[in-house]
Amino acid sequence: MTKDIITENFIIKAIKKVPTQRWVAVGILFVLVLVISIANPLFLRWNNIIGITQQVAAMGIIALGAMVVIITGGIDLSSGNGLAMAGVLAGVLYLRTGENIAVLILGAIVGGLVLGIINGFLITKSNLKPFVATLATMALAQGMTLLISEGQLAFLTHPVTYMIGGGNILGFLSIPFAIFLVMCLITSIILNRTKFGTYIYAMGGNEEAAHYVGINITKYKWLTYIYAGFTTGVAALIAICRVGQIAPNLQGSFLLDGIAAAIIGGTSPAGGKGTVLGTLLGVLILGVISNALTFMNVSSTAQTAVKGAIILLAILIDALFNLRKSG
Amino acid sequence: MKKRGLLLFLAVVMISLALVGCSGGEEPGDETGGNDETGDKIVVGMSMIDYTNPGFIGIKTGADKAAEDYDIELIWKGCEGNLDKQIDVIRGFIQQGVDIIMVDSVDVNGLVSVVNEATDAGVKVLAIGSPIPGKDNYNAIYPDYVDAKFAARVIGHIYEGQEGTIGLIVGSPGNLVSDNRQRGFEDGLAEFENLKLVTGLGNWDPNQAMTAAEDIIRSNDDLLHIHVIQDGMSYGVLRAVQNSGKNIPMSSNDGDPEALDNFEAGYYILENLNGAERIGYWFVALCHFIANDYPMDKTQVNVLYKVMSDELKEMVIEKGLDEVDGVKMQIVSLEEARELGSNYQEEFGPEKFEPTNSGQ
Repeated sequence: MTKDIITENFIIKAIKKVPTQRWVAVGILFVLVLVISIANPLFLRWNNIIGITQQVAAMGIIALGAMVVIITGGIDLSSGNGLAMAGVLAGVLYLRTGENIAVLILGAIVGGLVLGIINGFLITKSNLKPFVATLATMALAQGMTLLISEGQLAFLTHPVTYMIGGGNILGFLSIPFAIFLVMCLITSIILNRTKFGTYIYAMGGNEEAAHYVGINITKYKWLTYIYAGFTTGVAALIAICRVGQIAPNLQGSFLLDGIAAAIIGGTSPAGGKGTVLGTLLGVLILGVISNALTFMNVSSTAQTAVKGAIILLAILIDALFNLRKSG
Repeated sequence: MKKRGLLLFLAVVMISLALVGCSGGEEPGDETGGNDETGDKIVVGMSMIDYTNPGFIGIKTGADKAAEDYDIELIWKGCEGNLDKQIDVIRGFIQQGVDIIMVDSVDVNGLVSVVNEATDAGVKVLAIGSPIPGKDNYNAIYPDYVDAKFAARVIGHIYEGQEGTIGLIVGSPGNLVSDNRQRGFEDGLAEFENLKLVTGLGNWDPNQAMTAAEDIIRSNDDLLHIHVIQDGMSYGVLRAVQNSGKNIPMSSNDGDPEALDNFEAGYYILENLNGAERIGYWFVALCHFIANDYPMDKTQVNVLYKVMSDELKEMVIEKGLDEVDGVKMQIVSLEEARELGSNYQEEFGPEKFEPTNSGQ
């Protein structure tokens, strides 16, 4: 009896800790799921839920990197092309080393990290605006992707690539999504339990003030972009393993969806605000929207516009609740 | 000072890499600036939609071989699917004084004006893939609409008498090739009331195509078949089909070697053979004849081959499906397709090839 009361209190306290803004995102997700499942009951099937979690994993990891950078008041436009570059780099090294799976994993992560290091260098050492610096590295990554891959495609058939891209744990948790959750946990620890995390929020809230209180802006901003590069590398690994091939045209909509997921999840484009839970919800909302377009048989010509409109609506609802809260 | 030097070094490296990545061929120098009477090399400016599609590499490989065989210099420029950029690229080629501009159009109507500018300036233009309705340009086309309509009609007859859904994975709406292939497939399948068509957006990206196919598979228990308008996307779709554990036959378009392997493995039951390398070679071979004012039709149509099993071929011929909108289809076996895909140097080479000339 006492144990039950303690548990109940714990849950209530935990729920109370969740900011109103997160409940708005939960509400949007709930309404979407309700409407879609009424339109097509197959939507709620277990294999579809698992499928959505598989589909959003790589984009979700990109969103985590985007969120961290946006909290500092920056932006990383290179993650989409960076994903393709890290993917082909990993794939080419993997094939050249006789399908060595460790090389594939390391290649993707190192590819992403190098991009992050270059981004951080350009932004902190040459004082380029993040928009300009990452726009340039976006083009660089695209060129490098073509140079490395020579436009060719190759297939990944190693059992471990199947596992990373489409395996599951105990039949209910897809491995790509599990990796995403681990990345959520790591990002959450960095943001909430480390000095680095505190500085990330401080730099985005007021960079000048952060500088005056003695924070080494150059060091920590550089580290932020390196972390974003790391997320790009991990996302690249999942993306190439999921689709089972190394192709130069893999960047797709990762960049825009990643940034959109972070913003839908409440990350402030002005910097200083953003949470892992919010981004997780943003990622799920985007995944459900993309999935729903097919389940509701929206024509291919209208899909991009409908998706854009729903994202805009979600952001507006979120902004409206924020306005009411602050007003 | 040290920091500035490092920055300068990095900037130089980045610019060099970007230049290497963006250029695909040599810029024409003063010495090679046109096919004048002294017998200099023919210079062809190649304005491509983008460089990221694996199909492009096939076209480039074939084109480079033709350039060697026909002694032509190629200058490659991409435009990332941007019409304004493509117009700038074409104007740049006019300024450079190339002999021929080959255009893989982002938007055929949007390019009419700049193509007319080129032909007025004495630069010949060859539109590839889809015809540009300009005043005096040449066109090298492969009939996307008819091809897709043929595929849909064959698929419709395969599933005759069955109620179910057919999935279609398209590229990106607004892209001419994607739109023609989608429209052709939709028109072809419209004849079959028993079949429902569901379309997914692949955006020329195997990952997005895979996601679209997964969603179609999970949302339609009665899915009978998936048709993909491009081989590059079809490999992602095949992965989705395999992951689903269902036996869903597929068909695709382009005739890439990997797709022919999938046909052999039984995953694809119908494949349209353009052969990226093959058509790349054909385009440049045509440039040789255009530059030399060889008498030829302004619009050249590539013979397309359909790859299918003998049983399916029997059905197609029996039902009279091998002709669509007046275009007769050439049906070949897998072995023949592989041979056609690799023997294009003989098919379109200097020893044998002559463009069509109906005297019109």
